[in-house]
Amino acid sequence: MAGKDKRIIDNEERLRMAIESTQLGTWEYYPLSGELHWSDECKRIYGLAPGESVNMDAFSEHVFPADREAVGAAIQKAMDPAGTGLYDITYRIIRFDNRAIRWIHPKGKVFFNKRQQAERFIGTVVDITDFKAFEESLLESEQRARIAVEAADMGTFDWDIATGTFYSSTRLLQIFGFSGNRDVSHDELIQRLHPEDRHLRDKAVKDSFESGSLVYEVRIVWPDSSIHWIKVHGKIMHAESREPQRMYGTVVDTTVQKSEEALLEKLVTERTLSLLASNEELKKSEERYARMAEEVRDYAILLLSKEGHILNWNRGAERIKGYTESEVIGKHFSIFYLPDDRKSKLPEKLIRQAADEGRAMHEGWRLRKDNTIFWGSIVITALHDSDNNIIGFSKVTRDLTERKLAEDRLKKYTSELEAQNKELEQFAYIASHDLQEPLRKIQTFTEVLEKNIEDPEAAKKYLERIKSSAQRMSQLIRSVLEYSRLSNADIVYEPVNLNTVIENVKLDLELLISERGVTIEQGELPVVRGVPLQMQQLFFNLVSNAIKFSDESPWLGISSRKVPPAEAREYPLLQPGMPYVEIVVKDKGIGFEQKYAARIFTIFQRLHGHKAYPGTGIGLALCKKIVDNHHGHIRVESEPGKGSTFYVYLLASVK
Amino acid sequence: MEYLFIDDDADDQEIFGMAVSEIDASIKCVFADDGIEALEMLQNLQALPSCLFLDLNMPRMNGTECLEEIRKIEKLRAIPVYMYSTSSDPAIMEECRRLGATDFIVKPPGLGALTEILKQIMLPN
Repeated sequence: MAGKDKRIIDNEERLRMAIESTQLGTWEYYPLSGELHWSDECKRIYGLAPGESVNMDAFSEHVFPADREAVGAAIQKAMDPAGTGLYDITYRIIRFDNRAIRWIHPKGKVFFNKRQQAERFIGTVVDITDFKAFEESLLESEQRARIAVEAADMGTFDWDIATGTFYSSTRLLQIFGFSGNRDVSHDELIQRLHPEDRHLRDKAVKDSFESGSLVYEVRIVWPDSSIHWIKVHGKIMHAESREPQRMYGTVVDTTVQKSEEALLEKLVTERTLSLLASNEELKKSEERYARMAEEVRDYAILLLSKEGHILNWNRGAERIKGYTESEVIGKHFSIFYLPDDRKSKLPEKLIRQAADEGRAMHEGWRLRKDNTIFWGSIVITALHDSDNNIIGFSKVTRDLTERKLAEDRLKKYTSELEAQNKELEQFAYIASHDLQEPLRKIQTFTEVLEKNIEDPEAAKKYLERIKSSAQRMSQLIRSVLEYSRLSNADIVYEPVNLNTVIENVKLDLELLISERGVTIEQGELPVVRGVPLQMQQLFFNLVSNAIKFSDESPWLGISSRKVPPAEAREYPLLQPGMPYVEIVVKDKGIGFEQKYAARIFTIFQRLHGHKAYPGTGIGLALCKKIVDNHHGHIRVESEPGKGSTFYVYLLASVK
Repeated sequence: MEYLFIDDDADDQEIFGMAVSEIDASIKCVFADDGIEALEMLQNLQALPSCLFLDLNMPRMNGTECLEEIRKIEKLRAIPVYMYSTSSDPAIMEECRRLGATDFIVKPPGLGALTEILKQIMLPN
């Protein structure tokens, strides 16, 4: 243990000696307690003996007054927890011993505790006074040299204004382009001034008589026609009468400087021009682009921020979505989406897809400002900066409502056509089947008749059978025709009062009703939208059907009610949002099992034998067809022996 | 020899009866108006008929439904059933074969033609 401690002490000593040999002082300052420690070398720099103690007050007092502000600022900056903690400054101090002014260069670092407080501030210091002095002498000698060089290049003159005597130095004559050592008059010199610049000289001389000093820069023309720039400085000496008496001064050739300046100026001008031009070009192209986007009317083109807020808006957007620019800028683009799409986060999904894949496309119903909807085709494209960070999105929307509606219409027509085709196929098959039956019987009974032609009794019987089969066939053909005509009917709806319809049906069935002793209980019926003749056919069939399938003293109830919208929605064939009424036709007849409910509306399907209940099997198929044509619905509830109830849903007439 | 003819059409029942008499007056025929009546008769008959003729389009229980029921009953499983209909729809004919029909007879136009067909079935030799 002792050995290790010793080694550490040795090492520290060595380090101290190494530092001191570099004349580097070290210091430590603990801002929280205010403690300040200086190394011996540090004290030596400040003119203190090794044993003497220091504190911050003494430190501050010995900073040269003019440097105090800078030192305070540097310390504060170093102790700022948000900064680097570094301290590096050169300034002057006043030594403790002889109050001599010295330049020092301290460097340090501040260490912060966990609470971000400056805890320890340590560093080094070196006396740089000698270095500073050297630096200054260097600067001074440099300046002196420069002045000398310049002086060597200068021409001088001395002009006795009163006598007109003009003295020019040899250098001045060289500058003006005179060679040799001859005398040159003042006028000769003035003659060399560029004619365009002569007035500048005249004015400068005139001004100098007032101000006492002369300065001007003009061109001179040498005998070889070359042009040179000169700069003239002069000073007026006044006589006791205050009249200008003498002027002496210097002339410098500034041609090189001027041409450099001119070249620079030219370059700057050119560069500026080309910058202006390209700037103009850029502006134009930007403007063209912006104007183009703005003017496009068939597409909504907008820019979105990274979060989906609208940044700009074009005419197309205004036309398609109905908002003006001022209304919509800054809003989130989800305002164009239907509540359900907003709930399912569709806008956010599209933005995310565009961010992930570069582009997102979508078609769907969108909301305009006035809450109407349009079918939009949308492309959202992510926009990137040069570092490939997403800076926003462009969104192009087309209003394809017309196309969508046309497509939907086409789809509807197609499915209608398909349904009609299928129905037609079924119809043709069943019709041929049922029409063949009486025909086959006619053929068969004709054959039997031939065999029994000698027996009048039998012949009469088979002729009777042939006749009834032919009648049945003609009846079938008539109802098939009626049914097929219905399919092709042009629907023109008009208000139809069902009370009147039932009255007419009763008149048509008058004989049957009185023969069979039919009771009809009828409530007040509504006015519906329909084709009058078809309504007549519908209720004729329902009423006669009810009478036919009742055994004795038939009873019929006919009533109606309005259909609540929620209930109407259960029948997909009804038009949504339209008012419907339900007409109920109830009998107490023989009924049938509920499982045959769908079959009875199919053409030529009979649930009961010919013998007891003759019929073509078309009546209820006809009813269904009529109701379908009227965007309605028909259904039946039945129980054998108890009777059947038919429910018919029809569009109510709105006044 | 006994045959069960199931058809709701009275005329067809009469025509069938005439055709059978043409073949052999001693052949006995029983008639049912629909599938339900036929099934009741089959349950109650002392001796099973040699074969059945079954119309397709009938009220209450149609031909195919009746055929299905017949094939479900153990003692009727082996009995030949000839479908007898105006229809010649291949899809329906195929459906009937699948449900266990022996053959499919399209009602012919004329007594002679029907007699010929029935002779093939009733007097194979």
